[in-house]
Amino acid sequence: MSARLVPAPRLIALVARENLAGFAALAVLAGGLYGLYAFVGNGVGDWMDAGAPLVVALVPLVVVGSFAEKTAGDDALWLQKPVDPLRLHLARFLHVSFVAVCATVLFRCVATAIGVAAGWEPEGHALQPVVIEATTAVVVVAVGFGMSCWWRDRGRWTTAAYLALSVFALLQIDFLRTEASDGPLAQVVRAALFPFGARREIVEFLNGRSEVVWQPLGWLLAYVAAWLAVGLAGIRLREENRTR
Amino acid sequence: MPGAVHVRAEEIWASYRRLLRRSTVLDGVSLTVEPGEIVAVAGPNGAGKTTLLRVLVGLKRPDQGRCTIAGQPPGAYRRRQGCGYLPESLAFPRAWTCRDVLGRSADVAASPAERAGVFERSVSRSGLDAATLDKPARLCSKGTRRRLGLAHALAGEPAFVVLDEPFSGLDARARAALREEVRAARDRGAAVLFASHETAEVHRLADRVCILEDGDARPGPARSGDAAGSLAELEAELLRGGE
Repeated sequence: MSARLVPAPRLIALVARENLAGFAALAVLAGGLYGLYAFVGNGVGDWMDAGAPLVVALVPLVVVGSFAEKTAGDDALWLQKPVDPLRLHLARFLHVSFVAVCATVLFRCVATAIGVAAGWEPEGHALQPVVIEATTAVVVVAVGFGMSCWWRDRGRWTTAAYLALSVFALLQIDFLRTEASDGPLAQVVRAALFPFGARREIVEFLNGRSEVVWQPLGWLLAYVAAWLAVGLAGIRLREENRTR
Repeated sequence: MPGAVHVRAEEIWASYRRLLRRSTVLDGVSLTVEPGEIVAVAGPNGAGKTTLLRVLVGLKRPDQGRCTIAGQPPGAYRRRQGCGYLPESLAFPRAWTCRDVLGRSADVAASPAERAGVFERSVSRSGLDAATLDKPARLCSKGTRRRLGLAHALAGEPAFVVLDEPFSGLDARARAALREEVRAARDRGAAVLFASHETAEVHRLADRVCILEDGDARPGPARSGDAAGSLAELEAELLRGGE
């Protein structure tokens, strides 16, 4: 019997429906930003600038849970049928990435629309950050994929802890920069945790302050590929470990 | 349906490790299931029934012993031919309706040309009405979820069917329908293995019974012409082990 995976449109619709709560959370967050502005009355730009770390923190909440949950459930449900586990999990990575990117874009569009309506004047094109935030979302999804493929039951918590650490490192870079935090060891740790350097270089490029884009883009792709490889190795080894 | 499936498990040892403690669940269990045969695994709680089924579908690796499905390791067989497995506890993806589950089930179990037919058969097998089909699977009653799981397991007419506590949560009508489905699977040549605590159902459905106790397996009493007598004998055999 030759089994195929589910047609992409149906799976995307299902994955999107599963993440309705996440989409709602994004809308609430965007509304929160507006509310804060309306009550505080100034500092819209600061709130908009803070959007990126918030998105980095929020997207994992949307996607990682469904990764861990479905990885645990797939064994008994879909993998009893003649389905290649690598294809099944890779397809899931693509679908969840799609949803995460949509969530990120939606967040930025809503927040930007509200900010502009409230008088915020962004530097450059208002939707420029979408590119970098969507890229960040894919990176986060790749990390969640890599971890949940190894630790089915604990993948959600491991990934959450990892991301908390990464967000902390991001905040450290952006707000708490010290001499010690710029040491070689700190840089290696940061690069291993999350490709912050590449992310920053892409921001510079989008803002017209740099002409180098392929190198950081390559680094981001390599980072995603590395986590995908970690995840696929986990699936393969776990699968083989079960069977003799 | 793929060719006849012979299931062989020889001297299977399996254990679970929690931190530094390892507890042995299966202690050299041997079992065979022939094509066109229904074999029941009975035994008390904690006897290792679920573990044995998970080993046979390739979801748990045994510590020792040899296990083959149609001459292949269970995991390889499952990946190539697929099997019908109804786990004891079913976790459907969040927000998926029963229709989604059966739709995806048909997608993964059948070729594109066969999908529509497999989906229709699954819907009919589940016995769910149109309103229930559009309810989120997670919010359905336990019985409905079991029927859904069973329809998924039998989608694509697998040649090896493994059911873990299939009667749990089912009403009388659903039990009768389940018996019919399992017998139909046997009649088309599938090797069927199921685990159950329910002695009457085991007696009614199984061609052969394997009693699992303290990680060890022994054959149950052979069927006799006197149905009531052989049920009593089976119950006595199950009780005897606990003494």
